[in-house]
Amino acid sequence: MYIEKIIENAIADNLDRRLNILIINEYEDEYVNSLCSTLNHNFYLFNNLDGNPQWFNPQIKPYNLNFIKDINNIEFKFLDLILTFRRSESYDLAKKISMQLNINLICIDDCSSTICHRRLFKTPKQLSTEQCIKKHGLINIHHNNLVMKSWTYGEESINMIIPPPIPQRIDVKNPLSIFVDPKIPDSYLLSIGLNKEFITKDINQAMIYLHLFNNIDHLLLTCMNSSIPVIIPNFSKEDFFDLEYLLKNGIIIGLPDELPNVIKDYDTCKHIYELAIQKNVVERAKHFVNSYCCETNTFAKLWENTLRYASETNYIRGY
Amino acid sequence: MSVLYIGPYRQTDSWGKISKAFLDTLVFCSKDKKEISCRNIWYNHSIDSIINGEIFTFEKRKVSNPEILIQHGIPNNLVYNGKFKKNIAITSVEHNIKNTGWVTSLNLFDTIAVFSEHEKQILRDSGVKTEIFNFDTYPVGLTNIQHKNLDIQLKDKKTFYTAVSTKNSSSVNQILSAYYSTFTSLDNVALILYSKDKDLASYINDFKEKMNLYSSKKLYPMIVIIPSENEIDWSHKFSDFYINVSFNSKPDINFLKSLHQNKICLCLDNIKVLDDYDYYVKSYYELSVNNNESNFYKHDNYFTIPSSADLSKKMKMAFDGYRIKENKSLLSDCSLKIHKSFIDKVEKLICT
Repeated sequence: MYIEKIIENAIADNLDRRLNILIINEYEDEYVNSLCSTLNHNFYLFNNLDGNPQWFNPQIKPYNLNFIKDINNIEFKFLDLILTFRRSESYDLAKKISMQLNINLICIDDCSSTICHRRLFKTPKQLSTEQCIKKHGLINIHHNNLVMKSWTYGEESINMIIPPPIPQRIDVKNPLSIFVDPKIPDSYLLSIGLNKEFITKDINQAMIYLHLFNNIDHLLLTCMNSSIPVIIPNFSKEDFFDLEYLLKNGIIIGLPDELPNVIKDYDTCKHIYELAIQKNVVERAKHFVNSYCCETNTFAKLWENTLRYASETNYIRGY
Repeated sequence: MSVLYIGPYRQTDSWGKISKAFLDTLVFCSKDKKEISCRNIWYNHSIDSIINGEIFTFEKRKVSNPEILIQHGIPNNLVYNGKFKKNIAITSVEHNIKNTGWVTSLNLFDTIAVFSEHEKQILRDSGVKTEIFNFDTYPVGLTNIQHKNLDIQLKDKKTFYTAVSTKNSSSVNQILSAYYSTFTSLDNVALILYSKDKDLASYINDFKEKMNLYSSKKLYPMIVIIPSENEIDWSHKFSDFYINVSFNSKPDINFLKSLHQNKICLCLDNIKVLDDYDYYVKSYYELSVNNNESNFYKHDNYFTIPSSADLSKKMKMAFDGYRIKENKSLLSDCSLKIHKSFIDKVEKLICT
């Protein structure tokens, strides 16, 4: 099918056609949703990979997001591009498909090479930076300058920054307790000593947000933009590299001790919240989000240019 | 007239070399280079991209006025495109195509171009009805003969050379049989085999045992194995007789290179590019019994196979220096004639 794509792309009058883009998702439904809702192209996800679903939010599925079972059995003529997140298994699969179909790969990075890949607090690093640094797409999209500078590539790889779009602000109706990412399983929370009765997975009950990942993600930005103070556990020095700026500038609060020693009663949440207000953390966080993220129009324009360029560029092995 | 060429010209294997040489010829034939665009396709996943010069410009150029589309590849990958006035497919086939979908797809093209009469016949037998254009030979950049120095002690031996594998289709059995039955260790001769097969040496030892010609293996004539087919350019420069008799063999790059270097080339008689040539080896058709699921074309394999007896005869004839001088001038002219003929045919292909 890729010869058809090569021919279509070579003809000058085909500049405005809708592209068919396969995404290998890695729990980034919100980001995929932003792409789908701002760009007039067709996006595709596998129904599932290795038994795991590729889309967790059926209620927000955009109209131009479609599901496929098999890349060799698709209803449209050809795929133009493949997008993937980070440098782990998703990348490996995307690279394989890219080579099989002779289509260009775009890699989206929200982690620096220091932390290598997104992971939960106290979970071991599964990949080495040396392994990951060899992996890249024709274009690598980075969320910020720190992330971009941390990776180095060959000559044929293009690196650029597209900040995430400003997340939608949420009005918390009933702020009560410490909120954690709903995607995190209870067994993990238990393993790090968090008492379930002090925790909520409902953002409408969030008084403060306990960020347990080692990178800046969509939920972190959403909470900061929604005036929910953010706390992080005491990561090791290497693990909190991507969050260091936020911590040093008082945009988030670092917990001084092991989680069970800090979060041990109902008053903890209230104390941290009051501290955050007192130290102006919420205001600084909102200001950070405004400077870190970009407007939807800018996000759409940058992505549109990137997708057009990558689609028009001949597939070359070796980037 | 604008031309969009799509082929595996960035690959460095034989498909890539043929594609690159064709593209070079196309550029040479074109009156206006601004009308040429090209795009690469990949068949081989492990090969690095190689590109130079103006091809980079052709890759970047968009086709504003679609006129001629030339696709070069294996039949199942080629797709007709109605936006172009003329669709040309260039392909290489070894066996009949049983897949009716592929044949139907090929029949949509205005012209299908192949590199030998044998391939033309295969396509006709497979049910291809559209016009089939025969180049009669592969394109080749004859000046690009490069070689590394090989440390082989041959003294003043006359040398035959060829690329083989332990697969039947490389005619290894016919070559060994002819060579061993023609010469002994007392003859001042050597056979250089270029091969990436690691077990070729043991294969040859087994073959000697099966032949059982002499009481001692020392009496068999000398064979030198070079563990890389890429080094064959050394022999194009320094050896004497090239053997081009693999099953269904075509006038490939090594055949043309050997002619260009004034080597005597022992080739199958289905290669009909040389007039009045003494070193054609008689061939016959055989239906392969080794058909299996891995057969890409899903069909019985009809092979053109060399006659060992005739190969032996031609080896002896070449060794004895029969008409070497006369043939040398003939061959030198011939390689240029073939090259020129290819250019003329490319012009004809895109102009008609």
